[in-house]
Amino acid sequence: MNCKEVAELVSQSLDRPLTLRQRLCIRYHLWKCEWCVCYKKQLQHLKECLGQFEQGVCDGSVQPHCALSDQAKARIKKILCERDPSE
Amino acid sequence: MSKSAPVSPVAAEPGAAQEQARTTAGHLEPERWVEEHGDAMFSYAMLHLRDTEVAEELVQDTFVAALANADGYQGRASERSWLISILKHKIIDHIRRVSRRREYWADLEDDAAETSAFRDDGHFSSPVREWIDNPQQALQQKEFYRVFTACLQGLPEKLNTVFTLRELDQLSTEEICKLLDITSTNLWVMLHRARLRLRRCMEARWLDTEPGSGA
Repeated sequence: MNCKEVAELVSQSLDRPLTLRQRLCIRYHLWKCEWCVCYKKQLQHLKECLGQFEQGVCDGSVQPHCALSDQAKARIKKILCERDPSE
Repeated sequence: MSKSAPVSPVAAEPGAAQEQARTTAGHLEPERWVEEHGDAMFSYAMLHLRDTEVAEELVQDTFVAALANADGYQGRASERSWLISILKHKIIDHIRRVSRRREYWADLEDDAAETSAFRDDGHFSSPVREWIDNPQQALQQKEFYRVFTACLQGLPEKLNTVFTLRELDQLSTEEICKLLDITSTNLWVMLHRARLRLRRCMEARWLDTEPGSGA
């Protein structure tokens, strides 16, 4: 197995259980390939961090990368005020 | 924790919790909602979609739905978590509505980025380096998300859709296949390509802005 095949399987391992044979092939390749070891770590790190992404949006550690326009804000506020049942 | 919210003393009686929910979320302050959460929600929607108008519409629909269901807000989760969970449903519904074109998803042409990532003999074409030593540090985490967001927007649309559904919305692969009417093999290929591109983009942008390099 080469890096290309291993990279594909490493990605799949994040989405489905691999067969024993596939796992052994990966392990053997990783034993002799430092770049694929790094690749695997990077994908795992990415997945772990993204598992907390929504939480980050909620607690503010993920900053908004874009903003609602002033017009959109005004429009939404107007619609909400018209529908506000408490008013 | 939040010092501004006028938290009532312990909710001892049944109904008191409900009353508190009414005051926390239900005391409807739509103007504040939009100011406090509008940008975060819009950004979240824009990670999934390329169309500003649609994203604005989904945010608006979310606020309207939240307003109509303010009684359902229990006050356990933060206000923003509650709004984001409604927004997620709106986004997924939208994707379900617009992506019923099986042939669009089935067509997986060669990906130039995938081809260039490997040499002819299948080995990585350029070194894959270690990222960071301590991913837990808050600052690095913040920077990580900033770089990730920028890289995500650079993904081709299809890859962006499957990746955000899988990793941001945390849908299972079965759910995504059903939603988009695609095979799991197609999905795996697309997720692999998305990850390959993202890691390359992040490595390029991130390692170049390691602490000490200015910026």
